[in-house]
Amino acid sequence: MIWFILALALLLILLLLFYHELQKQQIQKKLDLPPSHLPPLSDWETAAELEPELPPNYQQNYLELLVQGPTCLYAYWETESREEIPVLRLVRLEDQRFWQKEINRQQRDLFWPELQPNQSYRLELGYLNSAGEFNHFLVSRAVHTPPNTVSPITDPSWPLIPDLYPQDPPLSNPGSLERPFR
Amino acid sequence: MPQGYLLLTLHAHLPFVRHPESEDYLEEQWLFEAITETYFPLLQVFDRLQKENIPYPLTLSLSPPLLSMLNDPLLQQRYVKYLDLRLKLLEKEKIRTRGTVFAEVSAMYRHKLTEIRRLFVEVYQGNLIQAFKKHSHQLNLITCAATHGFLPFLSQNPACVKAQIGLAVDCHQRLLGEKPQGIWIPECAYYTGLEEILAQFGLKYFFLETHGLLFARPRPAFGIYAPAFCPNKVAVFGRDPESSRQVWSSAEGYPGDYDYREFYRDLGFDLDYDYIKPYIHKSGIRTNTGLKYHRITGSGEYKEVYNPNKARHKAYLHARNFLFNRTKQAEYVGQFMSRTPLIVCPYDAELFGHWWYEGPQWLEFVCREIWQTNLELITPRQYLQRYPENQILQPCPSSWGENGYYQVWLEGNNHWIYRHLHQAGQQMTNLAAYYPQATGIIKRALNQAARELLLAQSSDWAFILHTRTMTDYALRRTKTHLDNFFRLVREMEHPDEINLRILENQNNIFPEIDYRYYQ
Repeated sequence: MIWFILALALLLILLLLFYHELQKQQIQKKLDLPPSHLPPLSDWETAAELEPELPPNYQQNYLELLVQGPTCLYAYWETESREEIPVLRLVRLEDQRFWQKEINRQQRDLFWPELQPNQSYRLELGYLNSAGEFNHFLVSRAVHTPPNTVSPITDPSWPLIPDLYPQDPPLSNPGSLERPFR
Repeated sequence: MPQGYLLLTLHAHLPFVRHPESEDYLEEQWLFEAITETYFPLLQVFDRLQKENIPYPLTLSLSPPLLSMLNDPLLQQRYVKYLDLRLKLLEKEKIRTRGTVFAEVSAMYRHKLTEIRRLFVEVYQGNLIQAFKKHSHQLNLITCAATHGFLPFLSQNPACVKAQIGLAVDCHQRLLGEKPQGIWIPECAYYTGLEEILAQFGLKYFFLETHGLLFARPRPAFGIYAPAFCPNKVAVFGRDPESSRQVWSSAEGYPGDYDYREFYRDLGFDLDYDYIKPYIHKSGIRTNTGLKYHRITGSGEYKEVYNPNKARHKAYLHARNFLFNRTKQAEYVGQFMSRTPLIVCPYDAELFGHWWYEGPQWLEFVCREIWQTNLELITPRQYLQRYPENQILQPCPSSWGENGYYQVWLEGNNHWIYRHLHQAGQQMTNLAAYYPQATGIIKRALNQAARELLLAQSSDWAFILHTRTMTDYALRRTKTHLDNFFRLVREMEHPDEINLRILENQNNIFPEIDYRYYQ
């Protein structure tokens, strides 16, 4: 009787081993399969290989203003206006002070450096009339340059602990390693 | 009560680099290298810690493009091929290095890659997501934006930001089984108001560069040593610069130690051309094989053979040093604080193992040795449970890129992309409004247009254009996705079924996407 049970147990173990091996092979087979059926190559893919060109313009009027950092903005625009000498006017909203730049008609974007941190700005694209007055035909949304220092505002319910502030807080990833894969 | 809490966060992300049309894309190897050198070694660390009942409450963000690629059968099949080719080379290397100083390091790779292949095929059946999920009782898994879009430059169209966040949450839930509580915002790039969209999708916290918190209004009472709440109660954690520098800096950080593996000496470039040719790129250009036999040795050209045991011991010493420094830091700042200070240490996950080969070992030693200190590892959720009252403030717009703001992603080499991205974003929201309940092929075309837009928005392309590393690839990816998008829009009334099917196959990220995110 004991021999019979032992033989049965052995048979069971062998069967389990066989089943495990079979499963392993099936998984292997699954991972070795060729890629699932893909549609044939088309002109689209060929075009992708050749690096498509993006539209040179969108035949719309727009003026977009982006913040690059505390002291620099970036603007891009498109206009159908035929003004000979377009003018950009940057307005600081806190005091309505403004700065103007003449641009050429082909220009489509610019970086505007040397600004003040923690201020709101709006950009206008227009022209100067014969009386020297500025008339805009495009206005950007208002943006705010970020601060580059600690805030002077404190919260009385959370008293400040000056010792917890580094003297010169780093503003970046100092001497960082190259970014993996990117 | 510990003297300090340590919040270790790894951000795992790769751009979506799946190319079913050809096996020749070098960029697809980024994924295979990261699986081999980073994700597997990290998983093996977690497995060992779990087995020995050692706590490892780390925070890990798995970006949706990475999750999508790990879940992709085609890439899984190709990864096995990638491993097999290297194992074949290592068999040849066994003979070549026999009796030489390189025999040991060659055997190390053979052993590691054989084990990785076994685990990948037999244990995980090709899908590493399950492997990460298995550790979710200890690991705090969080999400990132859908395609790692640079959110401040998408913010003029809030629907684009909503789609980036909403799809990320969906993807996380679909592949990992539960909604994420927190998010790693791509490049730590924050703009005022982002927290409103995060809250809409149930996200409770995110991370910022040091000055994102330090320059907040009002000033944070505890500096970066405690989180704060945005006005809508979403919590924000600020990066600790000291611990970053020690791990991250190429000049003074641990990874530059002379005993560690040298990244830039790869067999693909070191060996005789005819010998290595079958194992590099099909075109014949030399490429990395991931097999590197030397240690950093010094700043010069001369390199000595890599000694795994010595490097491992160094990782142990560096882990002890890291914990010692954090203890001193916590002791110092703790004397001024009415609560236990928190030190937030976030890193790119791929730094560990890929660039810093011994990084996973270092991380393991940190988890193993921390009980000997007065520090405790903690997750954001655990911290917020212990300290539910936090200061309310408005964080400062910032990023963790060079100079701390948005300059890396907006400068002379990459500024041109935003005109097109914004135009495409606007067209997408217009289409979503025009087709409130599309069905059939138009719905498919709208969904694919959304995929193409999302893929074009990846911050990786602007970053690569800035660093001028793989410029051609980044240019092509940006332009191709935008071109695909505009073609789909032009043909929206009568989409071409075959072309649509090709794009659905090729750029198959987010199979369950719903274009109505843009409504």
